[in-house]
Amino acid sequence: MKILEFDTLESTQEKAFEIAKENFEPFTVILAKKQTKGIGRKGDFWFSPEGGLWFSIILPKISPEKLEIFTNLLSFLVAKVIFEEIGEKIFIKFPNDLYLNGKKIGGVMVQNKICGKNQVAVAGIGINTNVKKFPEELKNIASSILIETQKEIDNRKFLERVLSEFKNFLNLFLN
Amino acid sequence: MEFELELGKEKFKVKISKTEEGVKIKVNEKEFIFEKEKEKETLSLSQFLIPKKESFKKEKILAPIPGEVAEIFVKEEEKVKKGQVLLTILAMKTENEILAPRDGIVEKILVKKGEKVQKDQELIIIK
Repeated sequence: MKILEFDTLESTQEKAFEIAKENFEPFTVILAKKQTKGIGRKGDFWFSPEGGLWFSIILPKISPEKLEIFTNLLSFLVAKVIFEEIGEKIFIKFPNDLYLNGKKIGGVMVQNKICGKNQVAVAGIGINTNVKKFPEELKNIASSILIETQKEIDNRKFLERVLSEFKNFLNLFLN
Repeated sequence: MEFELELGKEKFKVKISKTEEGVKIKVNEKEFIFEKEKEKETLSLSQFLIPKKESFKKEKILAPIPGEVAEIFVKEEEKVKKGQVLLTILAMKTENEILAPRDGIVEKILVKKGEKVQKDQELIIIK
């Protein structure tokens, strides 16, 4: 999978759509060290400073019906990788929020843009891996793997594991 | 009308005048005459370039999937550009943004925010 890495982006989702519009290449990954306008579902702001893992994946053509099921399974896939990495159970607030010790540590989303017969879907994944500090208003509801487990995650290796699972999973799903 | 035009390091003296032959534009020492006949040609070409009637047809935007109208971003009679977000449909947790397939005017919005829609239900009519 092609990984396009950026130091700072407003939003990996927006960048992914921009890139897909120019050159639609499924499985292209857009990775940012930090996002200044990271978004969650319904466009809510997602705190995404350096230390976390923020990326989006341009999805292959997939019908809206299948995409819906795929979105619902995406959080399980990410939770599985986190569990294998840290050995702690991840709670999924179905279908798209990931919790550890009662605090949000990540989330997934899928955005689909439909323009007549053209359709581009992008999956966005955000994991608070090594985020060291949260603003006061988020402190009680959000946390990171580092804060909760004192384990520092190798973001790059972690990303590769997620991508490998992701691709296997999506291929199975598409066939 | 006379004026001097600077483009980068080059300077051009431009003189525009109306003569019997048509409009004469003199750039430095070169003359360009836009004859009346040519004007006619331009006119006929522009007529030819007017889009065919078919492209003004109304277009119904249908729901690609059952779900809930999460947000409507346009109003009736609003001009929209191709690719502009018209509305979003939330199906489970997938956000489906429905974009305008072409330039046009929103003639009718047939759904409300929060409304549940069926697949292929008419959402918006673009004229």
